[in-house]
This record gives sequence, structure tokens and C-alpha cells, in this order.
Amino acid sequence: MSPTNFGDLLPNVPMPNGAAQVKRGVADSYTNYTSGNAAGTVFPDGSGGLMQISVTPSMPCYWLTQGEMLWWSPDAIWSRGDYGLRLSPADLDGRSAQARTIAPVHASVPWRRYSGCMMWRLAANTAYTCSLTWEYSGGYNHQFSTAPVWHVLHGLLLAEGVV
Amino acid sequence: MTPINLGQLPTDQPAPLGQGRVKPGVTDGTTNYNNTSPNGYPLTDAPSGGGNPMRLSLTPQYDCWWRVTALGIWTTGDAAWTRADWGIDLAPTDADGYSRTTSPVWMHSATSWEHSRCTALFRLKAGIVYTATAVWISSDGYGHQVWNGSTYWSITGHTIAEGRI
Repeated sequence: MSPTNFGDLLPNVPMPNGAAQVKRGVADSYTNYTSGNAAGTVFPDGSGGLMQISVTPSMPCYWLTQGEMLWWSPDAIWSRGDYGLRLSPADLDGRSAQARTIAPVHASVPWRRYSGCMMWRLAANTAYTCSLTWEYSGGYNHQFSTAPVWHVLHGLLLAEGVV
Repeated sequence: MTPINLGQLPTDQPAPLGQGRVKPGVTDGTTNYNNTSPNGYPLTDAPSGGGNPMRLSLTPQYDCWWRVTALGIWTTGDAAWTRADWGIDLAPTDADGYSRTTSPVWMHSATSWEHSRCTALFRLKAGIVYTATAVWISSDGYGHQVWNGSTYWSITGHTIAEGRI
């Protein structure tokens, strides 16, 4: 059953046809990760919270999620850090850890911005959480900003009922 | 005025608000490209150019916008800064005559893999079968490798504002 009685809607205004979610970093601080940080660790928001968004769709739908980060390394060597998006529970296609992005960094190169996204296919009436996660280090130091202008995870529910 | 007479829509079905598409890579491994690789050649979901193209298809019921994003990682074995162009091709061309959006990626053997992302927005006509394909475009002369596995490689798309373009 649609949550909307279409006959009650005005024909000259947009329909209430989706939902957006956003989680931004809170504090303008820098955090250092290394290979000692476990894969799947959810990034902090700089103020005690986690970089996560959640939805419980009322009908099957797609969920487009996107994570933005800013990276740098104090080490004078090119090194690789991976971050990604994880979904829990897995979506209707069985996907739960996708959209990994590699951030190569070097002390002599200024902060670099990276962006990863994934489209998930969700079932109705299930509580899903998407997390921005640390995944891998090539063995050196990797620093990221938790400033709200750089550290962002957002989502968009779309195509509700037509998956 | 909305293109839909809302009162005529059934209340026991969702409104036709949009459609999503997703195609991830499949098999871990790499494919090599260089300045002899043909412009417009589809990037694929398996190593060595095997498997299937990274491609989405859509036949919109209404005129609409289609936002398509491809996300991948690239590397080179060459110890020089090199540039590769890749992108998203639409077939047939959209209502404005556009068929390609390009993303350049710079790489060097010293920097490990480089992340690259391409987002295109096309204006589609109703009733036409469209395909959006991640494609190789060009090189400045060195060797380039793209990762084909699902963790890093995907193309996604969704329609927007169906009927109001």
C-alpha cells in the first residue's frame, strides 16, 4: 500500500517522493590511522560519534550512498590508504562491503579529497545502516580531517517500490 | 503542472518516481590499456578485457534525467606521471545531443593505485532504449591498468524528475 493517497496531493507541487540522510564530521580535527586499525572500523565524527546513516524503508527501494574524505600523510613516501562504504545487513543482491576507494598520500603533497559511492537495493521494513569505514593501509600513517566541510556521508532513497 | 494526474494513480501502488541501476565489477584482476587501445572501447567486469561491459540499460517510461556514476581505480607500471582519459558513453545520444562525459586520471608507478570517478547527467526521451557504458578513451602514451573486481569498480545510475525535463 502506498503511504500516499495520490488523490489528496496537489497537482501543481512536487510529490513527497524520497528521503535524504546526511552525517557530517563535527569537529575540525585530524585523526591518524595506520595498519594497526582494523578493516571495517567506522570512522569517527571527531566528537564522539560515528560516520553512519540509517534508514528503514517502507517499501523496496534503491539507496544511493556517498562518502567524502580528505587525506594526507606525514610520511615522505607514497603510501596507500583505503576507505569504503559498508551496509548492514546485506542488501537484496547480497552486497555489504563495496565502493572501496584508494587514497594515495605523501607528505609533500597537500591534502587530497576522495569520494566513493554505491547504490544498494533494499528490502522493505528492514533497518539498514551504511557506514563510512577504514579498510586498509600500505603500512604508513594516514591522516583524515573530521571537519564538517570535508568529512561527509550522505544517502538518497529513490525509486521506492520499483526495484 | 505535474505531468501526472495524481488522482488517476492507484493508491495501492508506488508512484513511478524513478529507477535505479547498479552494475559492479565481478572478477578481481586488471586490464591493460595504452595509446593503441581504441577510443570508446568498453571497460569490463573481468580481467584482460574479459567478462561483460560495465554497462547499464534503461528504457524510460517518461522523458527524464539520468544521472550515471562510474567509480574505479587505476595504476601504471611506468615511473612517469601519465594521464589516461576514461568516461561514460551514452547510446543513442541524449535529447541535447550529448553522448560522453570524460574523466582524466593521473598516475605514476610510485603512487600506488589512483582513485577516479566519473559522473554524467543525460536528458532522456521516453520509450527509447538507452545504454550507459564505462569506456576507455585515450592515453598520453604510457601503460595504464584498471582494476576489474567488484570492491573498487562499479557503475550506478538513477532517473530523476521523470516527465519534467
